Amino acid sequence: MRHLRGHERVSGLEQLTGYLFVLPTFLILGVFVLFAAVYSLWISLMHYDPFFHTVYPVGLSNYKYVASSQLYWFSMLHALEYTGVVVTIQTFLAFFFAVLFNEKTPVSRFTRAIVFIPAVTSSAVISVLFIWVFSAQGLLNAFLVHLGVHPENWLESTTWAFPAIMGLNIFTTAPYFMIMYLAGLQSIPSSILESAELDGVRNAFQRFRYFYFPMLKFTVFFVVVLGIIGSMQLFDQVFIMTDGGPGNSTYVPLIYIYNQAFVFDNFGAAAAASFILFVIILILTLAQRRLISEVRWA
Amino acid sequence: MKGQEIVAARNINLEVKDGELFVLLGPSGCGKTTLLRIIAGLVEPDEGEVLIDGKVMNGVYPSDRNVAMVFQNYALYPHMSVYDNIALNMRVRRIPREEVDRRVREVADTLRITELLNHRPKELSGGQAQRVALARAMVRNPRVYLMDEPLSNLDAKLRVEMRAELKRLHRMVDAPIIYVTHDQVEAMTLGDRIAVMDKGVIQQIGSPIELYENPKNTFVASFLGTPPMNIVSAEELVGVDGLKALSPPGSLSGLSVGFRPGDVAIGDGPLSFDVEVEYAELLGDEVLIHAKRGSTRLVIRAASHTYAGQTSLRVRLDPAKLYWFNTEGEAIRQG
Amino acid sequence: MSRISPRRVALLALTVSVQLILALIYIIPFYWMVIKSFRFTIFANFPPNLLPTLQTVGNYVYVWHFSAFPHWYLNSTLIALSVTAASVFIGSLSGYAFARLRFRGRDILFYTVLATLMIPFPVVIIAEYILMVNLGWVNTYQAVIVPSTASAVNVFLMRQYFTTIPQEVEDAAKIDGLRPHQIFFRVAAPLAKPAYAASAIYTFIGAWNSFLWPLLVLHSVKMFTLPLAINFFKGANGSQIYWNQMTAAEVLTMIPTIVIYVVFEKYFVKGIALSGSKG
Repeated sequence: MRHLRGHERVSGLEQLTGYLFVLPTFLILGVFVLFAAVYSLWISLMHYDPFFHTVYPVGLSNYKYVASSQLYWFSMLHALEYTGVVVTIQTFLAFFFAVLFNEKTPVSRFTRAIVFIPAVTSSAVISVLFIWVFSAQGLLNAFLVHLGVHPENWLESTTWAFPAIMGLNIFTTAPYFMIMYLAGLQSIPSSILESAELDGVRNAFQRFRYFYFPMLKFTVFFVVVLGIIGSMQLFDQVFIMTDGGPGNSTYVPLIYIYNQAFVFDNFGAAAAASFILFVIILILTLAQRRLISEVRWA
Repeated sequence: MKGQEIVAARNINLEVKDGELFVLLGPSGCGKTTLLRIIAGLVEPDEGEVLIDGKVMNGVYPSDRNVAMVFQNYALYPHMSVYDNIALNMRVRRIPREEVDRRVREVADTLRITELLNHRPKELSGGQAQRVALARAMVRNPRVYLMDEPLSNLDAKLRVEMRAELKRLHRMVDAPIIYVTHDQVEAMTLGDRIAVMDKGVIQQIGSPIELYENPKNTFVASFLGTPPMNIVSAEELVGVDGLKALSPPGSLSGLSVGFRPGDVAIGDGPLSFDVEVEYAELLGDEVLIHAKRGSTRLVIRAASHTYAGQTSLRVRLDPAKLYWFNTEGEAIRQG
Repeated sequence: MSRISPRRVALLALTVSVQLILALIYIIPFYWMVIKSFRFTIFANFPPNLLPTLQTVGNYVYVWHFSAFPHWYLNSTLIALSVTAASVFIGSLSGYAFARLRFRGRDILFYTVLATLMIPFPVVIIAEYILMVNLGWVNTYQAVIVPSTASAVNVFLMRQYFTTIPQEVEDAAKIDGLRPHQIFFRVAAPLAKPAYAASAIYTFIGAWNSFLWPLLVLHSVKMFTLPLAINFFKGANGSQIYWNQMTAAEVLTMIPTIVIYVVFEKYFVKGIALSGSKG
């Protein structure tokens, strides 16, 4: 006698339903992501003026143009600097917030809700609000004068404008990533921590070292990668608060792309610049994968 | 016999008759649930045919096979009331509302769950949930009932109670029940016939008593009965007085001897040998003695008063209750 | 009862104070924004007066009656609701198909959906914008809505949830005579309410707050969404005089997402837990 075997039955109806159910997603993502990406690549090889319908291939000259643009590399360096600072600080800060607000206290629910407000608030509202916070007569100076710091018009200063934007983004994204860590912390079954306590793991440091950190490695990786992708695409705050200024001191790649396309009508160069940015983001995120090599992929 | 249906999968021919409670028994992973899912139409067999009332069912959608299935974890729809759980099948078949209501109440009455009809599944106890699952199956008057370990999530006391309930329901319905379990006690007490499965293969089919008395191979022999049958290599028993005379013709090498724990007695005589006692379990009137003969472990069931705690014993086999198995583990019939 | 050690008490006190201090730091800018929206102040005082004062509701009246604010509110609401409804529905259909239906090429298709997450938005905006120009959609609602009606994140989140529904429940439905689409609509979807809630909340907030894409395709003031309007207020009226009215506009813009957050707080962590879990 041979062994009993069978395969899960797949009716034609089930196949058909499956294709119908995924069809809308593929239509939309197919057109607006996959096709659009290929189309962008094509545009980056063209001289493209959509308003006068003049389109002709120019080879790699858009890439040469962007690569030789000092402003573009300047903006790229800004983005890298910004990413290095913001991602590092927010990753740790968010973790600290998560551990802090995961502690059940009479005020933890309430305080956690408050801290999360920036994460659900429009970047436009936050940016406009912080224009005032950072202004000469703003909130920040009002506190700093108590500490004896000389008032500064933060966003008008080529030295301080970019750090101010960094600070604002750490302020708003740390709570967002806090939620990711909280989800991770809460997915650790309490029975594991209880049995750890029986095994002699008593203090917070050991708990962190042997449980939180190894079990949240995947979350940390996620937070870092999402942080990098978000930081390299910084736009809203800069556009609203300083528009790249003063004196290009807050110029970032997306401002460059925006200006090339929508101010100078140079769509080919904008597309080329976006592809260079894509490659750099890809390299940075893949490097994270190498750095945290033990991360198991789902 | 009120007509019959044949369920065939692969090279195994299973024939299940009307009014019969047919048990598929085997350890986990033996393929019994797969076989059940093949009959239900949830899994399509790679080869072979499933027939119900002589009609080939391959390729027929599960619900069009007119089978009902009861699952181990009940698989009730958590977002629907008990009433809606029972009624769903009839609703999708567009049976008139009054008819649905009449049948739901009728089956609820039979299963004594009328007062639960407005509850949600999560408010039910395990026993109640299983009654609802049975009601959901019964309300449709299926051609075949398929039950996949329906009692294994219940505690011991409830399981005994539900076993009796199942017996009662079984007498009320004409359709056969194909019942999957890994619990041989459940199989022996419930089944009209049992198919013992192992490694995707049906080892033996028969009534409980047939399987118990005439196991076809060592697997069946050791799977049925508690404690299981002792199976000892004949080589361990070389020199036992009178054994050769009972053995099948030919050499003893490679053969095994089987005997049930209750068919060994403490004492000397023909067919006796020495064993070393490892430990004993006192069960009241009876004692289970776990012993060793060479490298083979044995269990002996004896009356408590006959065993006084010795560390080595002489035991004697009942010559009428010996089973012989060949090198492949198949039973050798004699006489 | 177990005794609480002094060390525990000290630790709790420390935790509570740090939580309160952080909450204070986070609330102050928003608190000040609300205070200011109820003031006449033409010139900013320094240092600012942080005491709560209710001088006027005129800023709100002005914003509501003398700007296109109601219209912007309507635009934002319409766009965010359409995007949410479509994206969550489409995401749940596909998520269910990827979790439970079997069809040829399913895994490749699923990985294709996931791969789209690797393509950052800047890479597609140029082409997407030109597409809008060619479709004649610039300055229309559909330009903002249609590209957002499918979201790989929602597909993934819903798929994760559907895989947690016991297979046996769906088998029971199959035997009960439900066709695959009926199993989805009558059994699986009603059981996935938490996942629907989580993805709806994140989608709505994302759409409500979205800035860059609407900025590119919505040109006329009448078509603006609230974030564009906020930016427009700033650009058009940079002088001090309008700052207070702007804070009123900001408060009004924030209210819906804050309300959603307060009401559905438990789904925020759940949503992340779903989209971050392995499957």
